[in-house]
Amino acid sequence: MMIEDTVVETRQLEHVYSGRVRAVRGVDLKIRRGEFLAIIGQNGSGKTTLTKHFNGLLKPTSGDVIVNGLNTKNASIAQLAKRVGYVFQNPDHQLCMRTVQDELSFGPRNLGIDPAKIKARVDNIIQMFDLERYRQTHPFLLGRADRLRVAVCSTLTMEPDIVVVDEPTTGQDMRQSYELMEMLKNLNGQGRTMVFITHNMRLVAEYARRTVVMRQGSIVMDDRTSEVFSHPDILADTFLSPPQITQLAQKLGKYGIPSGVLSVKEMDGIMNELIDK
Amino acid sequence: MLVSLSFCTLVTHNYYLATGFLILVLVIVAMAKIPWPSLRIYTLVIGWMLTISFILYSVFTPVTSGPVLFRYGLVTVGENNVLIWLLVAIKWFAASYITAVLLVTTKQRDIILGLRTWKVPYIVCFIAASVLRQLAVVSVDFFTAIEAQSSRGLDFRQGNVFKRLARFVRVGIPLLFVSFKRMEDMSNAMQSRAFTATGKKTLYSVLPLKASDVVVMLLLGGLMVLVVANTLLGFRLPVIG
Amino acid sequence: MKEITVDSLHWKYATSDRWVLDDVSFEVEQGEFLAITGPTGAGKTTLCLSLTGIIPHGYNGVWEGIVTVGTLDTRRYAAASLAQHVGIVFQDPESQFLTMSVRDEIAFGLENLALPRDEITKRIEDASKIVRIDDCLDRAPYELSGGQKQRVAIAASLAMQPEVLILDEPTGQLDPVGKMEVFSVLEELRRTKSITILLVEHLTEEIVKYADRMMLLYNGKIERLEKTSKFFDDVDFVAKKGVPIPQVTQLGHMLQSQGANLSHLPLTLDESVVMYSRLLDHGGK
Repeated sequence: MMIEDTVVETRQLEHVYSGRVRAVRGVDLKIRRGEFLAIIGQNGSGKTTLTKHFNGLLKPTSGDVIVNGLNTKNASIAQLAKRVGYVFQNPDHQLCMRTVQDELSFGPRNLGIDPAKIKARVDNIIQMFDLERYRQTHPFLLGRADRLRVAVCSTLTMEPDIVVVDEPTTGQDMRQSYELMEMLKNLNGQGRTMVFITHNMRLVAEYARRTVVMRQGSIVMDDRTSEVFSHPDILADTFLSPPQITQLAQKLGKYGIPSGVLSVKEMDGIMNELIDK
Repeated sequence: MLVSLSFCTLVTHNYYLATGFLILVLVIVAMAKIPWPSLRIYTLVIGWMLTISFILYSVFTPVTSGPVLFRYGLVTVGENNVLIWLLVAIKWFAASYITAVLLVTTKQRDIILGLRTWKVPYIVCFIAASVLRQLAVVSVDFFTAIEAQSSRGLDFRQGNVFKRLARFVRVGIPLLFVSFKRMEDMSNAMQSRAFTATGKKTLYSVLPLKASDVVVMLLLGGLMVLVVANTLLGFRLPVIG
Repeated sequence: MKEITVDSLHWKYATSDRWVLDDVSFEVEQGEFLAITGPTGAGKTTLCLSLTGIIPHGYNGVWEGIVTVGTLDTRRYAAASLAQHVGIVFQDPESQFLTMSVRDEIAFGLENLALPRDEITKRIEDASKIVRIDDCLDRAPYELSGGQKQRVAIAASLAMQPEVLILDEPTGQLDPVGKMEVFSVLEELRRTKSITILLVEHLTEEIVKYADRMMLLYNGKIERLEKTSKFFDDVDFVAKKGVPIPQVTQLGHMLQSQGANLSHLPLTLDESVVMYSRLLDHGGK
């Protein structure tokens, strides 16, 4: 793999809080351009600590984090905000303007982007994500799912190469979660690298091509999602379970069903083949 | 004890008493092994305030009595003004270090239990407990909101003090919204636990008062009365003289 | 005996332009475990609040219909009075933790009921044992995980010995460990207590294990109210209303539509392993 394909690289990254809590331990991770990556692990495994290094919210205690060739130790958060968009778990922590339009303009204005360009970006995003009817609405008057969409869009107007979304499903029903994931999938299709942290294994199975599993500050598995879910024993150590359909496939392994089945459709195809035999 | 010491220090005009209280506070700080980081912020803030107030006393306060220590242009420093400034400095340091000791050594829960033991009205105790409880929660929200806005290119470290303050407004807005939402949830939770502002309640958790507690409280109460009497009426114990 | 009776309930908030609960009628038997599901905005939280008296007494709006818990008409009793009969656990573990220790939290409601100290001590012990936090009684809220806080909230409600316990998306903000902790408490409650439970939850793969009946609430109306074993019989209808279908059930539906001989659609993993093994053994027949 060519070096310039790597958008985020961590080298022996360590992060220690308050001189005692070792939240990230010697993590080596390379994220390539255009990847759709899920980071999973139980609370306290270091997922959020790791991703906050990508946009400079946290600086390494030791080791390095390189984002698009820039070492985060030498970069300000504002500089990194141009490269890495970060959407927080609770969108309410991000929203601070009077209208959705102002909210979408806020980020690029902070980056010193030309006003005409900002207007073009905002109009483009509003059209792309069907926000026209909310253009002049106060964000806090929207439902939670729409507020999260606005938070994601307000990150997109900064046109980062990489978008990190922390827990896109909290407080959302399944349909809203899927809508948001489709949004991220479209963005990924346009070339943006997507990283999302989640506990929802169904979404991981359906959207993430690569999954990183963290436990106690270290990466215990980093592979294609189907491969990761084929190791329920390693996942169990991290108190995670594969999606129900994957578990079913694993329990029916004696019939020759592969252990890395990720979707109902896939399982249906396999079952039909076996039945026809 | 800390509250009464703080009260005495702030009330007294007597330099010897104030200095004595400050020394006592420093001894308590040392005995309680209060870490320097807990004291640093107070020292910095008080230091700045004292510097500014020294300038105000020197430049803008006319020297109406006592010898003049220093004069240059508009700046006049009189001995009495310096002594007053010194008294203020002693009081502020003592009171702020006492606050640090209180925050580091006392569990929030114990503060509330103390209020209950003193038969402070239930609703006041509950409000105090809610404020202390929410302080921790709101501070997490505050720092999260700062991170969230930083992630959108808002740099809190650049620019002059007014620009930086203006940026904090952007943090205040989401904080307000999140807090209002939380208030609604809290109110529903309280109702679901049969809470009413008045009415008979059992005080389950209280700190039992021991005889030694009562003796210490009486002594401290007496000390506070003496200090007030000394300040207002010039009353002196023969020992202090 | 009917523990809860809801008769033609209509509710809209002062700021709503339509009914948030629109002619809702149902009954819940004593000791029943009813799961309520539906998309966001369906009115699930509003329904929960209406069963506790918080609506209408704590909110401005328009109320029509009657809600009875036990023999009590919620219109005539303040929420604080109904609290002894119907407890509620909310989604946010942080906002509903009102005091500064686990012990105080469980005692809070009992203090408000002016119970004697001995009785409070006993109830704290009993409730904390059920939810398995009896070793954490002196811990402060910041020392607890989300799952632990929610268990404390359940204990705080249980200590008041209500006949009904309502849980409004109690696992919504928890990690998988926290979710499992809460579900295991619910399983324990179901097994050992005769308390009536209403659970609002999106995780259908979990709730099918516990619920006697399931309700689908959509745009303020009850669209489906069935025994759990029959709830997913019309998979397409339920899916269209935004309710996630257990993946093993989805698979069964697909296989059935392709001609596979399944007596019914499985709901749980264990059930599906048995059924699909049989299917594979007999070549789809």
